[in-house]
Amino acid sequence: MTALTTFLLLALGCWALKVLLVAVIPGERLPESVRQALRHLPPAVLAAILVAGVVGTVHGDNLPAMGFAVASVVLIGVVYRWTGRLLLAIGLACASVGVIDLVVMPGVVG
Amino acid sequence: MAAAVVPFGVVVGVTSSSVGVAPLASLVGAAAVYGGSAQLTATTSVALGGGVGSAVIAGLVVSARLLLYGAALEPWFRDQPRWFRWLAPQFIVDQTYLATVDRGAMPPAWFRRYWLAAGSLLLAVWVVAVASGTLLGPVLPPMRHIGLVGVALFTCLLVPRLVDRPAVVAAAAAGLTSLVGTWLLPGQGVLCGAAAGVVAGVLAEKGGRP
Repeated sequence: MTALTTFLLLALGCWALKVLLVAVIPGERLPESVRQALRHLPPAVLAAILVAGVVGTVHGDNLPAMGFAVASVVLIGVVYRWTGRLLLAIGLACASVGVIDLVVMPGVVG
Repeated sequence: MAAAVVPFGVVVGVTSSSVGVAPLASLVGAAAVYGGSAQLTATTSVALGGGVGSAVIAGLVVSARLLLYGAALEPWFRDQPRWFRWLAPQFIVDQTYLATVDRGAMPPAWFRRYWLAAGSLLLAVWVVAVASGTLLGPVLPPMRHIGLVGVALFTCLLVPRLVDRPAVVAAAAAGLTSLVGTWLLPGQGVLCGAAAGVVAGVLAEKGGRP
């Protein structure tokens, strides 16, 4: 019950965050400089999510596993840059997960 | 784009299951919150014994970037009917924001159809992924690093955007700040990184002008 109540209140709060600058305070009232700055948001937010995702995933790992995970992400980026094939990148990511969980850190569970 | 949410959804479902959150609550949360990092943060907070209030606040702080997304997407919502401007922002998440910005300007009616279709599809995939994690979590082999698949998808979204100096500077600054922010202020890495990246991108753009 606690979890359900938490999720429903959280959903209400998240919706408020989403509509605030869409319907409550329209973005057209924002200064032009702010709207120009928002053009840089996509690469910034993607890089931030990527790094936070790697850190969260390898948290508590030993050094070889961390190194392998970071190297895997770099390799995936390079391969995608060269080939543009998303499925190949996903395949590499799945293979990396298998190697880390089954070979580099076998027996270590979260 | 929908594929990007599957690994994260499974992780959220498995985590909810492992800390004893009822499957129904997980699914309602997945559909209503519609945000993996917020739900995961709230779930962890509840599991650690935090109250409802602290769990909600933790989830909202993690979701603060939604404010930036709303501001950036406002032009697409500007000429829409009132019901759409108040209800459709519920579909604002990382993936729908990025996909919309990529597509550029659209006629209002076209955008409404696109947004509702993309948001509904992504929501359906998300809920199914969380349900899969919730139901299959206990019997799946431990794959603690499954989150790397989601990271790989974000990598593939980032790489094509690194087309000029301001974009590279924005991404580098965001990545470094996110690294430090995640370490110093757990849960705030993305928001800190995104803000620093935007500032760095603006400075790089100004510095590159003749």
